[in-house]
Amino acid sequence: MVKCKSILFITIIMLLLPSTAFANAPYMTFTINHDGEPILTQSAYLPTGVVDGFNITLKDADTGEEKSVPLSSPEDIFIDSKDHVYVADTGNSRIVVFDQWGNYLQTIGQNTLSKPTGVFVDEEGTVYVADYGREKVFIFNQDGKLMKEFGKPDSHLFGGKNPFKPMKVIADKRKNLFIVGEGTIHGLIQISQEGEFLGYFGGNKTGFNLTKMLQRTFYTQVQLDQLMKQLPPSATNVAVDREGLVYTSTVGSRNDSIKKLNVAGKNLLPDLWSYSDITDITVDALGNIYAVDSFRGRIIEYDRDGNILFIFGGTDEGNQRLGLFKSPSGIAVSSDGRLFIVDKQRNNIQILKATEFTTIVHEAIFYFMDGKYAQSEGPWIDVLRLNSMFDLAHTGLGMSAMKQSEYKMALEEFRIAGNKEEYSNAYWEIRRIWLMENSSRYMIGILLLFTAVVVMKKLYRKYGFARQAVDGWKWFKQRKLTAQLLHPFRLMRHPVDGYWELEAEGKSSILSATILLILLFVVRVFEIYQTNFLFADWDVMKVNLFTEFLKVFIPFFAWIISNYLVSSINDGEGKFKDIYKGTIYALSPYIIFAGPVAIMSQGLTRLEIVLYDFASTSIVLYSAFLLFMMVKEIHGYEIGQTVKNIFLTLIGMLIMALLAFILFGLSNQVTDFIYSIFQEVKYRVEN
Amino acid sequence: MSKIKKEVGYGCIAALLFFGIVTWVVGEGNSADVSEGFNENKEDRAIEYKINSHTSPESINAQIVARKVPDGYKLAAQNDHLELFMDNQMKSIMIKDRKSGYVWSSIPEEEGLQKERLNEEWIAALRSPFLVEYFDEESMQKRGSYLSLESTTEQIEQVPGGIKATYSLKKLDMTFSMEVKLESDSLVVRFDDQDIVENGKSKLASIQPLPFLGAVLKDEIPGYILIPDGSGALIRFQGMHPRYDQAYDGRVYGMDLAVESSDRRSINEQPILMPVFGMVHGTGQNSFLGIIEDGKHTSHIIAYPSGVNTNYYWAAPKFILRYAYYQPTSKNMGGFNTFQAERNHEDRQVRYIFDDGLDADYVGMAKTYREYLKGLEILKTKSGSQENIPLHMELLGLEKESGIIGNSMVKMTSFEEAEAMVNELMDKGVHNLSVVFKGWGEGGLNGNNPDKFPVAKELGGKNRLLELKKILEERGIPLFLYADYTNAYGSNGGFSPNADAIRTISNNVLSDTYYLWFDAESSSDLTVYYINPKLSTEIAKSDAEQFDKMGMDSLALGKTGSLLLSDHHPKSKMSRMQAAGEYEKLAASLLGRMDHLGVYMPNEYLWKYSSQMFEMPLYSSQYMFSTDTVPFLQIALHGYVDYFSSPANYNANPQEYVLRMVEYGAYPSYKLTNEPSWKLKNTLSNDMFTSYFDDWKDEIASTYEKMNAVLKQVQDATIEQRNVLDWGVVEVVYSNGKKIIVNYRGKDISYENQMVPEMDFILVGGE
Repeated sequence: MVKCKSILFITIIMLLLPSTAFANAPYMTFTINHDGEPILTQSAYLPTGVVDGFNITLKDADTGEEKSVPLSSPEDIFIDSKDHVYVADTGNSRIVVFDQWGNYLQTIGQNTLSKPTGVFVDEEGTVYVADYGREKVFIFNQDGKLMKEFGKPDSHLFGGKNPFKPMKVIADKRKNLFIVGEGTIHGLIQISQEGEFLGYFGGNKTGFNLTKMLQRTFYTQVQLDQLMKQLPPSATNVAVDREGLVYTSTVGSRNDSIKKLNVAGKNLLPDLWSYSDITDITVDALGNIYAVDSFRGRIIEYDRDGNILFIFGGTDEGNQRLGLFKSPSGIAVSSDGRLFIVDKQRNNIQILKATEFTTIVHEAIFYFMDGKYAQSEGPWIDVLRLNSMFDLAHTGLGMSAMKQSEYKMALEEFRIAGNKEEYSNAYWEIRRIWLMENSSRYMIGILLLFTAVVVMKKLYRKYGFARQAVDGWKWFKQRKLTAQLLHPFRLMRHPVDGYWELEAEGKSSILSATILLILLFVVRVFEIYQTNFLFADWDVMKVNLFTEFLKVFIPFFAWIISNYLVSSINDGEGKFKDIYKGTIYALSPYIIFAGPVAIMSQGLTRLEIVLYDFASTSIVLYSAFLLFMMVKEIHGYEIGQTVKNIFLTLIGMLIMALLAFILFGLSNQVTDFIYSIFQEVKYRVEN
Repeated sequence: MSKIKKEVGYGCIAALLFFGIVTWVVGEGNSADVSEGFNENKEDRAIEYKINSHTSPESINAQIVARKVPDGYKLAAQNDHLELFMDNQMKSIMIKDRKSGYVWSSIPEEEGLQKERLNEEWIAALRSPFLVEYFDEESMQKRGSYLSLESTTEQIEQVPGGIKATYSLKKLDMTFSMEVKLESDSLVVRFDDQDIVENGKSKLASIQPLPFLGAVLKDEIPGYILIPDGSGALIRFQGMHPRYDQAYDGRVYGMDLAVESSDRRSINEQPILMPVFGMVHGTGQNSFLGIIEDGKHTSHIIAYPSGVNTNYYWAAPKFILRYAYYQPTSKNMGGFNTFQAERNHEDRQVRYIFDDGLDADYVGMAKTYREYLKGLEILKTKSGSQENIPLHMELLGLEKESGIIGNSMVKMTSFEEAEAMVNELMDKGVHNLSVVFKGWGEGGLNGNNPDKFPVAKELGGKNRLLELKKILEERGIPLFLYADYTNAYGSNGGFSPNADAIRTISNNVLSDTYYLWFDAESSSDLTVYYINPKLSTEIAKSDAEQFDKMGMDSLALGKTGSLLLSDHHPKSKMSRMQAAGEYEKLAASLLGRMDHLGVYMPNEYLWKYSSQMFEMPLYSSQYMFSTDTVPFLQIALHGYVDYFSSPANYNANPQEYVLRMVEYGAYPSYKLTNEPSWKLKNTLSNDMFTSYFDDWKDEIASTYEKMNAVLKQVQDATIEQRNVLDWGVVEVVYSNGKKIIVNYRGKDISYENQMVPEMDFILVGGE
């Protein structure tokens, strides 16, 4: 699943896009690409109607006069299989039923209900209402006759002190009721058709909070008792899909905002990304999930697997345009794919219709989710034609290509889509074919090369074959600089001797060390660009060379300076230049091996990630080991002293960082202060 | 032992075989499941067209009874069309249409007013001839009216055609005069700037003349208010309506970014291109069209739906004399609120043109506006129309991409490729085109501006460009080079932000940032400045010479046509009116050297210079109180100038959009590149998510064919009538007798003796 970056800035950014309005909607519509970045797209849904309820007529019992009583603070909406729209008209204490075109049909529960905040209708047309005001769940039949009502369950399992304040209700296939109760932290309240309490279902967990953890570690019991308990947030709304899976939405928790629960209460979409203020969710016939974020007025549409398809909508901050919401409290989908969103503060229902673009996307997803990749190809190609940045379409086309054994094309599509898993699979296939075709040739080639080398060696020994080349090479190796540059190899195999030679026998110099340092940076850049994108955590396009430069050299110099300062206090024998040389040489495993590892990664798939991880980790560990040896040898410490020295060096580096931070902050304040004075003076003088 | 083993062995084999056969037989059966085809439910319901992006059918209203002019009013002026009455203090006026006898009053009926439960402020306002906003001694902005500010009418003098009243606002210690006179079929209201005298500590912020002229209480009179929102929108008078929060406060020619901050700008709000508004009392009975003539650059158009402060529907212009603004004094935005010291010195005038009978609806108003523009020679008869309608092709040549080390250029369409694309389209049947080339210079589209030259070598260089132009010219196609004289960015020779950029009213250089990625900062983020209009004119003049020398004869003006800012740089102060004047000079000087000047979404002051108008709005902002969207803009312009829609390849409802373009008489437009659009992913044009020519060429050809067949027959005709026959069915009647009927519904509609198929259109009749 995709981890999304912060999307809060969208409202700011959109004002600055240099392009004209794409469609006549008061909001922008986005989809999310594989990097979690928002991609602008055509409008997915456009306003197609408003229902205020002016056509709801109420006959006054006394005068017989008919007056219209429009909706007031409606809090929930549900559309049944016959496309009848049920609205929990909370402010008017009733349930109002419309047809899908906004024509008023009937009112239910006018004299029974007090503050209905949740409504649900099952396959037979039985209407379930959660009445927050009367703290009961009412069940009506299609004609509006009250059949049953449930108050707080008697079962002691429920807990005598726990309040029963039902806000939303659904019924599953077995006619068990799932109730969202206010403040119910254990999950949904499950009640049977007879009113028997069956248990809690699908509760949320408290998130990890560093402050709380520290408090728990350090505070006394008395202090802890005085703190507010950190309780898991309770669900805000609940929905059920065709297969009977239950969905919950929650406010206040980023990770559990939307959950799709199986029968055991396990969340099937643990990696789902969402805003944290979801007030309602609904599921359509295809399994697409729609969620409403009341704080930002946004609607998010996900496919069955939790991939974000579209994000759109916005809050109405006074411009009163159709399609913006003040306080969206409920969402429902009709059978023809229109979204009905009920707005608590505007007292109306806004209806949004899918655009032609969205219809094509849904068609493609319909076939894709069913595994009919070949059939989905046509619609996906259409989608890409209309929006070539739609990543899911590329994945769709990739899967279709895989099915048809067109691995090269699949690879390309997956790369554009950023779908690492499937890319790895496609690459595996390509590699397999390549190996089958070429391995024999390469085997023979290697064998020949090996034999050639052995033969040449023998020839050299016996007859002095290619003596000049070998002599030349030997002479070259003897040259001082070259020897120094080749010293890392020796150092890696014999660290203790290597360091001794470094110091005493002039096996290194400032020049060679500096050359190696530059080489270090070059290797790093090489690594950045050459590592297989399957394994890389970074985005090659977004790499800023200057930042990378700083990332390598600042810690390096901080370490050296800090180590020198600490060592001079602690009887270290090393001189500054020795530390300098020593550190660089300690990083030689990285210099020598990082490049080949990056190249090797190009030929690996995700299945072989172990190899890559092992190789990179060994490099790091070995370098760390050499660094340790360096401190020990250069300063002449025992093991214990070395550990202490390294620890102090690290603390020294932290202090340096802190100082830099303070200085930076202070200087910022100073410049700002001077600037303010300047501005003030300028303004006064001009006036 | 071995015997048992053998038997066991045989037994296993037999079991395996059996199992395998069974699976094979049964397994195949399951997959023959009937899979549901994808459900595309297309039901046709009228309710889908009741949305305010369409127009609702008109119903016949009963004849509205005209008001009586009360006894206290005396006749102040009259001519063949109108009679002007005023009360003795000129606190209110009445205009009587001599032909129809209908009376328009500047204040609502006293009876109705008494019944409404209003607070003091509004009762005073509803009886006043003007509303003002002012800054008091503590710089707080307050509202007032004639009555609430204890005003008196110092003097009433006769002027030819009317009267001039001098009001003295005692509470604020200021005076100004309002002149009201009749000119043929219009009422002209004027404020002379020199007559505004502010003696006290309070300063005037704005004046609204005759705010309640034609105001209607709820739905006691059928009709509507017209606002110039996008293509035009109607606010019908309704008895039952939801509660609205605010009134419509439209800024003529868009918001002045140098004065007002952009947080109040909402996404995709439609612009106001024309300073007009109107009111209809009974469709086909009585109407007036208000045109702001002087002071239009610093004016707003206010329209109040019922339920906001009062139950009256009313509309009026608001002239801004002083802006309030926030003066920051530190980088952290600490500061204080203050207002413009010197007021905007402009004379202000608004004209109300009255109509009755069949022309008393938005179509009639648009025709009236058209005649008005013709009178001022802003609209001239079109010349050089070809047989076929033009299709607007906007090509992107070069864009700048953030790179590893420095920036690289991404080539999207070279000149040679452009030629091939045009040829291919023409071969497919697109007979006439209007080609705009963006990003033709060395810096690419978001590279450098206003430094435009030299022509990009990557695209073929100057010679290839000239060759392209010549080839297109032979086929009768103009090649417009895109030019932007508003924004400055990148490396520029003659532009220095501190000296030449527009400064806000708080004396900060106005700048914007175009972000490349939404989350991470990038070296590609572009800081954009705004060029002082006077400098723009100079740059344009020298550019025009260079273009001429190059051999180019057509230019497309972006942004400059629609963005109007004032400049508060101490050395080059400029008001919006002066800026508009400069832009007119700019356009004139360009036209001096070029044959064609195309402008993107031009404001009305540039209409005179535009031979083609690109990206004209076909929608309104769809406010909750608006009940309809109407093609007011298009009715005024059609037949006099070619106007194009926004790029059709970005519209989410391509089929419906074609219908809309045909209904509004707009020609199609596409944004295209030769290369696929994902190549723009790391450029500032990464919002162009679809533009690949190969993807679109077939659809362009088929759309063009359909639209051209119908629209070419009415190219030079004007729109005379627009009738909504049913929800989602529109009939547009042109001056040459031809009618276009557009059917948005999901079912076939019968029209006269023909059928109009679902989601389609037909052309009927004519010579």
